Amino acid sequence: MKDKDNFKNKLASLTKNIGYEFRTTFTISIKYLKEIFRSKLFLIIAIMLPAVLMIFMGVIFGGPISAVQSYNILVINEDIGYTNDTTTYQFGESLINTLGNVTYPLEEGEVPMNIFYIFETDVYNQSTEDFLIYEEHGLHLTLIIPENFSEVVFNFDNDVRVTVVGDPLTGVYQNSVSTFTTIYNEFVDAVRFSLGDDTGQSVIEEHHIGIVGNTTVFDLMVPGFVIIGIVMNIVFVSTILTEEYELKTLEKLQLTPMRTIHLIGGLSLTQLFVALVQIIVLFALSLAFGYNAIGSYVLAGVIVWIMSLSMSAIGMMIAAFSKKGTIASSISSVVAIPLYMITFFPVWGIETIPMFQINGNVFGVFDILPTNLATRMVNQVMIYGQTLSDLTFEFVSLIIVTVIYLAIGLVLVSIFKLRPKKE
Amino acid sequence: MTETAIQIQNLTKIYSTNNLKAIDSLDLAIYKGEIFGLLGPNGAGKTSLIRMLVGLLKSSSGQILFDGDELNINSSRLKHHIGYVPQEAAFWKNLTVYENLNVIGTTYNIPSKELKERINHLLEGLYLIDQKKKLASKLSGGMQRRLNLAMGMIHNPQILFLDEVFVGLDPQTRNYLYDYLRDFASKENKTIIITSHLMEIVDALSDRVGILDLGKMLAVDTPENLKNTHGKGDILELEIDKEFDEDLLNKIEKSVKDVSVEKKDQDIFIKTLNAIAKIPEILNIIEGEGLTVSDVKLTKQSLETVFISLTGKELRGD
Ligand SMILES: Nc1ncnc2c1ncn2[C@@H]1O[C@H](COP(=O)(O)OP(=O)(O)OP(=O)(O)O)[C@@H](O)[C@H]1O
Ligand SMILES: [Mg+2]
Repeated sequence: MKDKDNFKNKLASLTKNIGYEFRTTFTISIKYLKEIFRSKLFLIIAIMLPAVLMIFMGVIFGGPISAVQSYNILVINEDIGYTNDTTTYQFGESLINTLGNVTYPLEEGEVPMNIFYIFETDVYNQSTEDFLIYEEHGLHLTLIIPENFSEVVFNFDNDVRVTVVGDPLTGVYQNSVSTFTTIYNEFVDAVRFSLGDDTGQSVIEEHHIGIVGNTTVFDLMVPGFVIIGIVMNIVFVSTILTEEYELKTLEKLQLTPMRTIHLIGGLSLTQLFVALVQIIVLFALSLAFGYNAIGSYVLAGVIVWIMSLSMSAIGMMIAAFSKKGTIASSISSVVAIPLYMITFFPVWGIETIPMFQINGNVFGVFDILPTNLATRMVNQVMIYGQTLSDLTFEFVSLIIVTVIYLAIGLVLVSIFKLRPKKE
Repeated sequence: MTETAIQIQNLTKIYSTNNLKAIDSLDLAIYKGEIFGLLGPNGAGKTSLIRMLVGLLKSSSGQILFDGDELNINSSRLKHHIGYVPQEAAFWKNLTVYENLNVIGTTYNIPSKELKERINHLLEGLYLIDQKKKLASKLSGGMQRRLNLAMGMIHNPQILFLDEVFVGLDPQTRNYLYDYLRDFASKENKTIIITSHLMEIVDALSDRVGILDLGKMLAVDTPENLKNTHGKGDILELEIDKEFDEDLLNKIEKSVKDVSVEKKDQDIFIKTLNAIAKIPEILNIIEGEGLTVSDVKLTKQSLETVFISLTGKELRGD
């Protein structure tokens, strides 16, 4: 009976404590939110600057792609031919040849150019596709010619069917399909006409997948641009915390029962909110400028969001060693710029140095920087369509790295900013 | 009454940056329910002492005991127990008056409804209620100081440290604060440690006064006792237009009853009871030497005279 009461009391005080923890953290977070949203400079740094950069790069490198006038087409010819009397017809082969021979003159007197560049393969094989997509970044369309193609073409009454595979979200796919349709219809008509009659239809079955994209320089850079916005959060986190120290409001908080965890938690919460706004604005802008993403925006957003926590942690580390807001913001810029540049290393083809490997998953030196890890992950999601299960290792690494950053930030702030001053 | 609230033992603070001894082996007991006035010229170490007592500044050596327990700045109980209003106003500029107080109150875990009432009550008392929704950065200097004050008192602490809180307040607010502190200490048996340059306020408000200079406590007693033991009456300060020698001082000391005379530059300092009555006599002696008095200053017996006689400095140097 007594034990029960004891337990009840303990439970009551525990829930009361949890209530206190949340309320305090939340109050501090709201305080920071109000402070930053009432400061115009902040809005310029955190939202406008990255947005303008994204628009700028979008105009230069992005834009809906329609200027492409030749298409890379992967052909899987399963046509076994058709023998009538003694003549064997290979209409699949003929179609491929026709496609390969279509050219267009650019201007009078210029050398004619091919419309289709053909890559042939025997089987619809994942690795072939992988090669073309991942290595060349240039496959626009896949054409599958069925086994009975010649037979059907020969028998006038039947509808002729081929399958094209592609990603309907890309402009280049639509263009290549329409060009292909014209040539394909003409081809079937011409062949049947030469054989005598034409009653059946020529049909194209479109098989839409989200994997045959057309990657532009802009696409590869988008994650970097989203991340630069987030990297900017180092500046505001470190500045706001250092100003709190400089203007002695931190002492006011120090005197209250608030603990470091509430301060750090509140500030991180605010940063998360800001990061969410940034992520939505920046991805929306990237979409407007023709980002050929094939993966999940939500997954990419979550990756960047988690990564953003490490930016608040870096901000805290800087604040721990700064005594003036202006100094903190200068140091932050000095830290943010190289951090940001390094995120482009993979785009520039600079390979990371492996640190360790678990089950074939490599953790590289640059992955110590959450910005790099996240950029790599977002590219894998958005360009190569990878899912969470493909990225489990990276995802866990990101969380671990972020937690380590936060822990270091918390300890440093607590030691250098919230202890009685030694002076 | 004589239950100890804070026991300070052999406390020393040496600032490492300039190797300056701001507090020098200080021993002091502060009792529960008393208002303790801390007087000292600029740079005496008052702020340094208070900042150590509230746990913001690390001492170099010595001990601070609250209710017999050593000061542990991480103890939540102690934090609820003490309040501190710093000399320089600090607040969040981009928050309103109300929001500033709300943040502080919440961290003390005051229930929302009660907190709201307390904030309104304090703001009314401090004549800040009309500024409730104003951004703190938009307040006048005096209003900012009042906000600073409210922030240190919102949690109704048991021991309140006030560093120069009367500075920059208009008479209305000063009176309110005076009454509030009197009330606070007597009704609720709370302890207040206050520093101020305003001698009359310290004199009237404090149960006991400590006089601090160069980090040392020169005297601690009730204002009455201090005046009786160290006051030696009024202080008469005479500025002489020409050079004079020690003979003049001796002459005055011999001729006038119960005076002590000192020379400081061109000035003669005379400590005596009821100085006004003796002025004609003294002037006669001086004029008899062929000298002229160019200025006269009389300071009536008060804490100020105690202070001057103990430290040799005037308080209102700033
Ligand atoms: N952070 C510091 N580093 C070095 N010396 C300091 C520091 N703070 C104060 N001092 C010195 O310590 C001495 C005591 O300063 P303190 O501020 O405690 O005096 P105070 O009595 O509060 O003066 P005031 O009446 O001007 O407020 C002064 O000589 C001051 O210059
Ligand atoms: Mg001071």
